[in-house]
Amino acid sequence: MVPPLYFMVLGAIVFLIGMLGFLTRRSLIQALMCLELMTSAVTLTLLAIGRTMPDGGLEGMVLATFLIVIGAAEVGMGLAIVILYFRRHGDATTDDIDLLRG
Amino acid sequence: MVLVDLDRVARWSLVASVALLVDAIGAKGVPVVHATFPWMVVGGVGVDFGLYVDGLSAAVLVMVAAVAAMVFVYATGYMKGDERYSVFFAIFSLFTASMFGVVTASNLLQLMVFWEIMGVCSFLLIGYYYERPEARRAAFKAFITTRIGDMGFLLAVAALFARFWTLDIPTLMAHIEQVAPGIQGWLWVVCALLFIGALAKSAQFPMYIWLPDAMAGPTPVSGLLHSATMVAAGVFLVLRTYPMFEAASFPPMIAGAGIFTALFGALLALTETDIKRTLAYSTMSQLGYMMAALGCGGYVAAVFHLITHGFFKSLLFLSAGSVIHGAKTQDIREMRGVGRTMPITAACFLVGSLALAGIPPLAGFFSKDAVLASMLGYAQHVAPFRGTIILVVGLMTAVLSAFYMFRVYFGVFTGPGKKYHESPSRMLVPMVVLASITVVVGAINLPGVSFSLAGLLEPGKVEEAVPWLMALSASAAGAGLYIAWESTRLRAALHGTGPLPRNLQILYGGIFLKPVFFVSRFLREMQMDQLLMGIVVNPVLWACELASKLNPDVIYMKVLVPGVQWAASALSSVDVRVVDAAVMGVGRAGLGMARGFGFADRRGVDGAVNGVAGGTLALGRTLKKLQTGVTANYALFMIVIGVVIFYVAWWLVR
Repeated sequence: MVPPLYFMVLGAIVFLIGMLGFLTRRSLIQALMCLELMTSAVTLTLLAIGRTMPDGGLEGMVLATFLIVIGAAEVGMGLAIVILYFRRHGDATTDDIDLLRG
Repeated sequence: MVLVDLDRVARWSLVASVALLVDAIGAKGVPVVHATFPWMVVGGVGVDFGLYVDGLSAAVLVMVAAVAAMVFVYATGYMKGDERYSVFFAIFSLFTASMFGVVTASNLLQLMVFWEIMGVCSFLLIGYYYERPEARRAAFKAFITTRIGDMGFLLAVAALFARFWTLDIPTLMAHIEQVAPGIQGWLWVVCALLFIGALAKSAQFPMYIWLPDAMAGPTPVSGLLHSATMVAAGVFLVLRTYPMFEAASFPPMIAGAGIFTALFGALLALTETDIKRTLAYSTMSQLGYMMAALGCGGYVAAVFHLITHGFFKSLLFLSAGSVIHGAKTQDIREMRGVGRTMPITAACFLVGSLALAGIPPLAGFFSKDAVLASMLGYAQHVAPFRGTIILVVGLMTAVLSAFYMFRVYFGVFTGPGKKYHESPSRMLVPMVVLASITVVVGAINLPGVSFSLAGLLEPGKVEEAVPWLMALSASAAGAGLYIAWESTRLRAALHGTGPLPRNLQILYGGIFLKPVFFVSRFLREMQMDQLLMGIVVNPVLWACELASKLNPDVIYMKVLVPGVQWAASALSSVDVRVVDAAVMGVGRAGLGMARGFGFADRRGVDGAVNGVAGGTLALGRTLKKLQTGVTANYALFMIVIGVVIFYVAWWLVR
């Protein structure tokens, strides 16, 4: 078997890629994709840790199932927000999102 | 009919005082009444209020009550028709009450309270005819002069209280006698202060200036105040506190002051033309006698003379008032032959004059003799030189006393004159009563008799008789009388009734011309007689003229009063400049401090507050930069902080 540790490392790496991408992308859709990457990475890590448990990873699998559902909902909502934003502003870049600027 | 009118209070007080006297005689030296209740007490020490009656009080009380009763009745006649009649009697009654208070006071503070009340009443009574400017001036002069004495009195009382914590008279005297040897200097000063109070009240030199002017008041006032009561209060004070004076060896000063005043007063009286002023100077002189007696250790003599003087001087004043009432003038130069048409008044005045001159067997003789006897005792046993001088001056004064009194009597009452109206009976009856008392009151202290005033005051003592002294004093009186008679006869004979210089000339002329005119009389009478007159009268008259010019009044008015005023204005300017400057300075300092605080407040406190606010704003502005609005930034922060927290928690758990 592949040791769960490798999956955890992979998960960490993917998470990092997703995080860096989210923070630096101009395009909103690209940011959403990176978000999805982060979610996936978390799911992977969760499964890997579940595998280390005595019950054979069942808890991890249950939580991963939850995460899939949540990820789906989250993407749907995120896209809806992007579409609305696009309708208002005419583009989907992060340049002018500074309404919360103090 | 008059006695029925006697005020009920006066009647009762007279009865009460006689009863007290009888009690006191029986008690033989033990105080009859000593009842007090606590009055002002703070923490166990204080001053009581109450009565203290011993032999001295009882005797003086009888005299005061009797004289007051007589003068009251007299005053109802004299003041009749006066529009402020009731005001007069109100003040008069208050005065009498306060005199009783002084005599029966149980402690010095109480005595002082009543003493002051007397002073105020005297002011009101002397200034009774306040429409007259001289009455107003006289009232002020009297009050202020006695006030100066009161200051000494107050200081003495305060000092005594501070040391002994009691002012109760018998207790205080006992304490003083116990500790006397150790506090001589202090005690002497206290005695001197107290004596100043007595001096002022009793019109002794140099505080006598108020008494002659006080004659501006109604005659009953003089009859009571300036004979028996107020002026006697000064002597009474010394009598009351006599153990203290003895303990401080102060009596020589008293004797000196007293005998000087006695002579001085007599000299001044000799050339006075106002009948009441003559009596005023006479009072001053007689009080001097009492003081001199006290100074020579003659306690009993002084009390005796106080009592007899109260009676006969009051009688004289009342008679003078009667004459003034009838003759409408106070100047003796304008009164002649009053005796013809006012016989009762004349007789009363004669009795009074005989008593004052000291002609036996009237009261004044025995009391004056007692005074002289005490001086003799002093000269024999204590201080020969001083005592002899005092005795000689005393005798000279006795001659002069007779002289001035009879000068007035002969000049006013004898010879031909106008028709005068005798006074109403309401005025005459008291005079007659006083005259009868004057005749017999000498009996209270006859030498060699065991029941006497001496026995009352110093139990067990019997007055001794000094026959040659008695003879001497009687002849001194007689000499004075004779001189007066001669001078009056001469004056009448030569029709010289002008002012003093003329009288002097006449008397000079009379003395020198006498041998020529009355050669036969020369052969019959003792030559010593005329020689004595020639030696005595000339210098005396010269001296009395000089004395009347001395007039401390002027000195007081020109020097003392402006001096005090200058001091007052100087002090006031100091007050304005220094005190006000100090106050202003404090104010300015306060103002400066306030400005400083305000400045600190504005700069410091406000600065701090503003600084905090500004700092907060600056912090906010800085932190605001963090809020870019860019989601990615927020996400980055979240991630970074999440990592930090993770590591911190890991580290902590580890």
